[in-house]
This record gives sequence, C-alpha cells and structure tokens, in this order.
Amino acid sequence: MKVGIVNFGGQYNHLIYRRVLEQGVEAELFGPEVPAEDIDRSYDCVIVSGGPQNIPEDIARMGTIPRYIPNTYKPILGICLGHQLISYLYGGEIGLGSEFGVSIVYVDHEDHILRGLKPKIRAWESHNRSVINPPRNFDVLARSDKIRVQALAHRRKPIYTVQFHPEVTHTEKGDLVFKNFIAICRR
Amino acid sequence: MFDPREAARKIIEDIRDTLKGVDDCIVAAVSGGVDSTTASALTYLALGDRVHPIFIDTGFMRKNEPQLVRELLRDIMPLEIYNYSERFYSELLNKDDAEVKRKIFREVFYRVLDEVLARLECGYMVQGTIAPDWIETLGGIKTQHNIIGDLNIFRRRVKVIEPLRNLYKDQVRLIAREIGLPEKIWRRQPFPGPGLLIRTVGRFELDKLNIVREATDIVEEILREYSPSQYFAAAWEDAYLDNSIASLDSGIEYRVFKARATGVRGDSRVYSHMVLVTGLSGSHDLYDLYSLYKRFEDKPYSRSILNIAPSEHGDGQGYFISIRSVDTVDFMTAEVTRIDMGVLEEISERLLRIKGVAGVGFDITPKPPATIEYE
Repeated sequence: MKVGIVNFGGQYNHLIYRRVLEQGVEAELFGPEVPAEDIDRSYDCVIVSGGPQNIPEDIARMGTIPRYIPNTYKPILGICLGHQLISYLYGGEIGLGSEFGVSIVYVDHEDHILRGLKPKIRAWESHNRSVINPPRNFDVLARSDKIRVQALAHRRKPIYTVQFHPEVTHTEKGDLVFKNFIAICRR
Repeated sequence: MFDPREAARKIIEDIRDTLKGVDDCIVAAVSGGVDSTTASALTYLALGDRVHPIFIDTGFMRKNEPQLVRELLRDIMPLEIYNYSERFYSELLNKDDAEVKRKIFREVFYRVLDEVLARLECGYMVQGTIAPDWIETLGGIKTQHNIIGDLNIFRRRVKVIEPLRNLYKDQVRLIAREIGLPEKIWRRQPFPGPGLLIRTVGRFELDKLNIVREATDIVEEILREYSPSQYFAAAWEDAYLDNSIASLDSGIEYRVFKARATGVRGDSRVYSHMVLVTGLSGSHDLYDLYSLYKRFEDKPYSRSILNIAPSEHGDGQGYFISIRSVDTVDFMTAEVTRIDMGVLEEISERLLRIKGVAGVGFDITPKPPATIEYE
C-alpha cells in the first residue's frame, strides 16, 4: 500500500511523511501539478496537508488538487489547509479565525478517523483562517473553545479533515489519526 | 524499529564505497552540534587520516566553546581550530535585518570554508544535513539515496558528503551514542550555525554580543537541571514603539518593543515586533501565565515576553534580555518549559548585574507562532 502526500509547501509535510512510514506503509510526497489520473493510479489514498496559501483566493495556485478531490473515490485526509480546501470545495464557508500552539480539541464524535481520541486532546494548531460553516453532507466531529469546526467527516465518501496537526509530536494521540486513516485506506 | 548500530555500519560502508579509488582528502567542518559532529565522526571512522576535522570559530560561539568541543572529541578525532571571528565581525557590524544578517553570515562562512579547502587541497567536504533540511525543498522523495552532491559556491568543484541526509535528529542522537561520542555531544542542545549572532537581536554590535554571551552562560548554568531541549538568552534594545502602556480587554497590560523577531504562522514566516506583558490586573493566578500568548493570537506580534524585572522599562538605554527555554522532540514544534517564578527571578537578578542590562523577561511563546530562535 502506498499513501500519497500532496506537498503545498507546508513545513510539517515531512513529518506527515515520517508518521505514515511509522505505520509501516509506503509514502510519497508529490507536487500539486501531478495529473489526477496519475494520482489515482499511484496511490491507495491521499493526504492533503498544509501550505502558506489562503482559501479561497489561492485555489488557482493549487494545481490539479481542487479538481481531483471531488472526483475521486479514494480515501482522503485533509490537514489544516487541506481541511479548509476540502470544506470550501464542498460548499463550506472559510473566514478569519486563528489559533497557534496548543488548543484543547473536544471530540464529540469519533467516527472512523478520530477513533480513540474521545473525549478531548491537547492539539497543536497553526492557522490564520478557519471553517466558519461546515459543508453540507459533512458531520462536524470536533471543536475547540475558539474554533467550532476542528474535524469533519463526509457522510458517504471516505473523506476526513482535521484543522489541528496530528503529525506534530506535541499533539496528543496524533499517531492514532494516521493509524485510523491507514485502516480506512486498507478497507 | 530504527537500529542505530546497523544504521552506523551501513553509513560507514556507504562512505567507503563512494570514495573507493579516490585518493583526495576530505574536510569535515565540526560545529560541536550533534549533526555536524556525528557526520564528521562517521566519515573519520570510515576513512581515517584522509579526513581533516576542523572547527571554524566564527566569533559567535558560546564561552570557551571551541576549546571545549576539541577537548570533548579528543579521543574520537583531532580537531583543528581556525579563528575567523574578526572577518565575521567586520562584515556584520551594524547590520540589523534578520535575513540580511543570516545571508552575510552564510556567505562569509562558505568563503572561509573555501579558503580552508584550498589551503588543505581537499576536494571533498562533509555536511551534517539531515532529512528535514531538504525533504520539503525538494518536494519529492527519491528512493535512491545519494550521499554525494555538488556545491557550486566554491571556486573549484567541491563534492559534498552528507551521511545523515535520510535521518531525523532523534535518530542522529542514537547513532552518535552508538559510535561512542561523549554524552555531552549526543545530548547537546542544538546550536544554530550562526550561533549567538541570531540571539543578538536587531543591529549587530559587539557590546550586545558580549552581553548575550555572558547571559547565555548564566541561563545555561541555572536552567540545566530542568533539562530543557533548548535554552538560552537573547538581547535587544530596551526600547518601545510607544511610550504609553496598552491594555487588552482582559486586563493584560503590555508594551510593544521596537525590536522584531521571526515567527511562523500558518506556514508563513513573519518578522514582526515583540510584546512585553508588563502587568495583569487582579491576581496573577487568575491567569495561566503560559497561555497569555494566546491573548495576542489575533494581533500581528511575533511573540509575547513576560516581564520579570524590573517593573519600569524603556528609556532605550541598555539592553533587554529574554530568557528562552523550550521542550521539543524534533524542533518542528516546541512548548515553553515550565519554570518556577522564583527561579526566573533568581536568573534575572544575576542578569541585571551584567553591565548594560536594563530589563529581563521570559519568553512564553511556543512554536508556533514563534520560532525557537529569534532571527
């Protein structure tokens, strides 16, 4: 099995790469210009992670990914910027709302992706914007005191997103998010 | 699981394979940090006397650092010290922008290294590059592992050996221990290449650098028992943008330093003013001091410094010292070390005795939104 990690230039991308390897599966970082067919052919599932771009005005600079996401059946995990991008593509609303460093994230529904994280975790965040209104067809799984939408799951497709960074060592039980996602990829 | 013995054996074998049939010599620049020392030691173990381990004294080292590192490595490899501090000082004097300072430092460093390579007539050098240094910039993971690349900044072609390029810092520490480097090396807190230069915040002046060096010695001595991942002192002018004290709705009083520092917010670099939290209305324990920085989350400041002493600040005479101490595994994120207020006051008392020090504070900003270092 091989997990593809979209590289939008985020500083934690190599940590995501390392966390996936630690789960005992193959991983590869790839740039956002890779054609959609190649992504589907090369990887069993895809992680869309961070970068300095802003949603929605920088979507044009995000290559094939904004078109790839709604058109694939492969499992997808969006992290931080990926969370905001996926929310926006499915009709959610993005607005100002920043968090840096530690936040307490309350897990209301574990679904598949947050299995083992109830009732709350100390999570690390680094974002200037956030999801103000979740997209339709998604369930909100978690919240923090300041930001209402911390994690989302699509109701029918294997698409999951988190605003916090499960890949950094300071996030409690962050490795479980990867473990859960790999289990989803294996199904 | 990562096996340091096997990893070290493989790296040494790779270095020997790569240099089979080459009778050129190799310069290994050691800074005393874990990465460069381990990379150099592995190369020395692989090739022996063909390797020239050198230490370039940039003038931005801590007290007695070059001699201490040479002493620590005495049984591992012979270290030759080259003192180029005057060159670095004259190129950097009065420069104040963080990026400009870093660029000049790097340029001078490579020029100096070029001279040393020419003098020793070596065509190879060792670098302690580790995985996070290049994975992002390259954008893709290639499966072949290449321990040699070309460096074009030198007058002639120099080949670079990077034995650690597929490893992370915690793995490098395990290898360092495995090959017998002293605990003082493998446990060593990271010391950035430009050293005390980037803790001499803002305009580079020699008196400020000397204060940073003195202050670092004191902070290291007292905080050592907490074993933080990284701890040091930084200094900048005790001067503020505005003479008045501002306050937040929550009753937090603060002033904005003229000095700027780097930070990282949502994957973008920021370079902006720092805040000194001077007062809290009500009792201190109403607030968790360590989460005060979150009150400034929506403001454009790079970090929050908690005032320790004295209570009055800001005639612009003298320097402000910031105590920095963080805990981290991989240096990608960092949390501020929990330290008793009494200990911070003890440090601050000692720091205020250094001539030219006007105030002391404790940096309460994690990474993100701050970086561990200031510039």
